[in-house]
Amino acid sequence: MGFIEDERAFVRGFYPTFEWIESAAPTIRTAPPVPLERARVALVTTAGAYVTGQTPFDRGDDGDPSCRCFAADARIRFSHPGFDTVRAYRDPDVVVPLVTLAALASDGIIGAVAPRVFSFMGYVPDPTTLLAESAPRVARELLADAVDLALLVPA
Amino acid sequence: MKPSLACLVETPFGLTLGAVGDGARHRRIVLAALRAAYDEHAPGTILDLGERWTADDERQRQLEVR
Repeated sequence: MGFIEDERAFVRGFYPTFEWIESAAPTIRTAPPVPLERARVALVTTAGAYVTGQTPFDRGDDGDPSCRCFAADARIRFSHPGFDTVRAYRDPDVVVPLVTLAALASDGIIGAVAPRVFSFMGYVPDPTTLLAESAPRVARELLADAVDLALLVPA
Repeated sequence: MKPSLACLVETPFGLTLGAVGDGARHRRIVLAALRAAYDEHAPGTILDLGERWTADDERQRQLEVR
């Protein structure tokens, strides 16, 4: 099997009735408005990252379509039913590459790291709320942060 | 979903950017993805970054249907 088929078989092993959203057309590409060395880069993750004081993502069967927002220099915690988070606690950059992005900014390869990280938890069997509320809200917040480029890292 | 551009890395779940402590690989993948945003691709492109997991068989074991 190819990669996509492998992944589908994996998910169906846990959730035999799971259905993926099929989008007829891809999202429209928007070229970054400034060169990479001047770009403010935002990080969006689906690793279930959150910080102390926030409600952890719900790991139950119904999933969790909500979003957490935290500062790019915050100490991160994880709540996700789909992967072993032990290693992410040891090195968050395996799924939330804030140290990596900070180093790229320090080296002048990117302009800056956006001040806020937006975090989802990737297990969302019913994406209605995610599509109608959470994701559009994050898009508006990213615009408010004047980001030029957003990197979404799945877990 | 069908994003305008996605980058493919064949790494295990929970180790998207590589192994714990492998900062060089984390950086390589992040930078490749960021630079890809500046290249012309057909909408819906899945760009294979050529990253494979060779440390052990963890990725394969994760994908075994239970």
